[in-house]
Amino acid sequence: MTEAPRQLTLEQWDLRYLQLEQAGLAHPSYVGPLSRHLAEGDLRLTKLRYDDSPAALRLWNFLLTEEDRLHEARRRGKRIVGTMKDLGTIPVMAYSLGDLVAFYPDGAWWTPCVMENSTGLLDIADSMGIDESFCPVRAMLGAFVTCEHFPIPDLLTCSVGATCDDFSAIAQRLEGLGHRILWWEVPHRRHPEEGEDAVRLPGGFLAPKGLVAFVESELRRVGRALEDLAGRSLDEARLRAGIARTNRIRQCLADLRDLAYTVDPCPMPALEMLIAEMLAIHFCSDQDECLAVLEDLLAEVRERVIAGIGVSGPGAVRVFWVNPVADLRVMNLLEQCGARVCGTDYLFAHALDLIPEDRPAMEALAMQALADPMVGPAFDRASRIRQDIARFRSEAVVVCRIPGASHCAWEGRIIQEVLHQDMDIPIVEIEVPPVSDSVAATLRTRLEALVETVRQRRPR
Amino acid sequence: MKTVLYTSPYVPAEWIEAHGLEPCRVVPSGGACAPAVLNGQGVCPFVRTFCSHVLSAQGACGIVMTTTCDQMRRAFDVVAQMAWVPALLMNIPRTWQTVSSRRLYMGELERLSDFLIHTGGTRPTGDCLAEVMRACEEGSRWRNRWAEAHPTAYPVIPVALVGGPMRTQDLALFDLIREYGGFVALDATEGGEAGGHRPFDRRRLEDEPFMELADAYFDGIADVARRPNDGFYDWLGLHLKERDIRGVIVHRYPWCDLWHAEVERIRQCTGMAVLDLDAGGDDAPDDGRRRTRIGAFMEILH
Repeated sequence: MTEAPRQLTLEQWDLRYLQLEQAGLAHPSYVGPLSRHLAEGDLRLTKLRYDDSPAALRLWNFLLTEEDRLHEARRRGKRIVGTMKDLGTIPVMAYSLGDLVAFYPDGAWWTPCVMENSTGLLDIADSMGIDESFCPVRAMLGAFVTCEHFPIPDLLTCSVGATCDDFSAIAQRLEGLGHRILWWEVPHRRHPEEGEDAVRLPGGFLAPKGLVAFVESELRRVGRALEDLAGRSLDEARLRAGIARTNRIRQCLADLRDLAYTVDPCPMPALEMLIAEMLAIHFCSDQDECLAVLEDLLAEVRERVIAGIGVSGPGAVRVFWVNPVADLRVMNLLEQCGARVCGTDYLFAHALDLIPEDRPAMEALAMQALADPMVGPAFDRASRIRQDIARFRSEAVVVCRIPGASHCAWEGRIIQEVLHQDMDIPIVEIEVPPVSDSVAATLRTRLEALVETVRQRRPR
Repeated sequence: MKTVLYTSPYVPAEWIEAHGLEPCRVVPSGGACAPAVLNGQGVCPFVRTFCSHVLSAQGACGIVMTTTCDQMRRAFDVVAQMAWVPALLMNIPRTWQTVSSRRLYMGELERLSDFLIHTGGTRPTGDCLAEVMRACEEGSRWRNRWAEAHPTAYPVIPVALVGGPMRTQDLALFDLIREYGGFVALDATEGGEAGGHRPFDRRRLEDEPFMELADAYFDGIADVARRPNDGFYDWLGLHLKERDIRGVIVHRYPWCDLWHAEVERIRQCTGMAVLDLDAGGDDAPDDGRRRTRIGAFMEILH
């Protein structure tokens, strides 16, 4: 009988790694014991609990070696594109060109968490007048100043328009420091007027055809800059091939989510699933390896499902999670409170949808950019969450506020209002700072209350 | 005449008036009795006060909001749901370098026209629009409204007031600055000169008034939210020099990231003494604190 998976501490993983090595574990060169990342300052790793599968080990190592990968790409002569405030569009174009590597500088928002504020990135942002009233993504500003967390990109792009003001303001400060930015516009996705030509976007929202055409023209502008950088043309065939590769990753992730968020007992912990979902945005700087990592994880999940084993006991409370956590540890905490994640909206639900392959490639990318739940009305986002709650049979909702983020001041109440219209589902709103130890007791209490509420409501 | 409420400088008053409606650029007041949804943690006090104001305003036939700040964009969801009158959200591009951005703005003016007709207006002819534009320009000496209101006692210390839109209760700032020996010689707030369109080209106004209207607004507003926003700094630098400004007061609201992030840059770009004046939370700004800070700032500038 297959042994039930466990969640391990960092020390336990090191022991298990040795055992796997001795047993002849085959793995890519970047995989090693997780504790080696402590030497790089990733102190938070000692506080997390990890899935014990080799697939999860590969996932974590893939995530934690991104900086090395970027430096290696530069050494090999590849050009690097920083795609800011871009949840899954420009990277598809960049990787279609072959010699470009795209990454997501905003990802530095997790650095204060992973390194437990030891890098001083937030202090640097503070010193530049970007204080804690801004979202933790302000850490990115510090990362550009220190040049220590990623190589400075050859091209920086940033979407603007219907985006949060935090990021737009921080990116403008970045440009003020001399980092030239190619700004591209994503307008607010409004509902089509009566009689106006409309397009059904991936994910189901409707948008005026004119807005799709506008975004397409913006993407063509970015495309020309990418072509200049790569020294080759981003023609229809290349872009189509790039979209097809991206869709393979998204399909793999969709299969993974379907199993991880529906099967009982839960076959993969919330933390590893969060990391897996994040990969879909920018492929962690290596598109091919990203697919291999996710396929490995999916294979592990399938085996567990067939064996009927999981990481939590059967009957864990099924929670839909809204917005990513600034502190990864909170995903562990949810499970320690007797819950599991069944459905997510980590701000980039559109980056999980397949990009249409039956349309001209650039138009298809414009459609997916406009499908971003954050560029439209909060009511639209809430309605998509409602659909997903029904699909994943979630029993409760956690709306996770990001400290200082402009959207969080508004959307929580709207999401609650929409869900309460025709769903009898308990909702709790929590705010998670990058290192949440000081509020851990409060967070635990709120999550436990949610879990208890659901359990009391279950039929006996 | 039916009234249309708005606050963004990108909503052309001439366009509303040409539709036979009365434009009312709201300088909101109150806010303490805002509906619960507006009282969430992190809501910008100006946005809260504006929403509260338009939701309780009597006699308006429509509300026009814009996407120029994320909080206002998101507040539209609430206003559209709760208002008794129709509301429109205009998409204002943040980028300005491309023809397609300009076309997007023009398209939004057309959409505003449809909205105004829906709320009781009539589509204007070109001549009608041109006439309104001429008349409005004649009356637009309001721009330096505070300089006109205090024409005789010219400043001991000319300062610039920079920032976003202001609430009624914030306007006392002008008098407070005077009280301490200063004078707002440059009102570079959104409701002041920075938010004004460029003068209309008289010849083009006759031939193609709509195009001239769109261009005058799209090109003329010194907007810190533009990306990149170098145009704002060019405009500011020019005016600071022209008016011999000695210090800059940045008036901003808590949770207004757009202005908050610029304070340090204004300091660097202008090379002047800059006072970062947090407008305070709700409808009663902390007058004592504000008074002390302005007093100290003026003393430093002496």
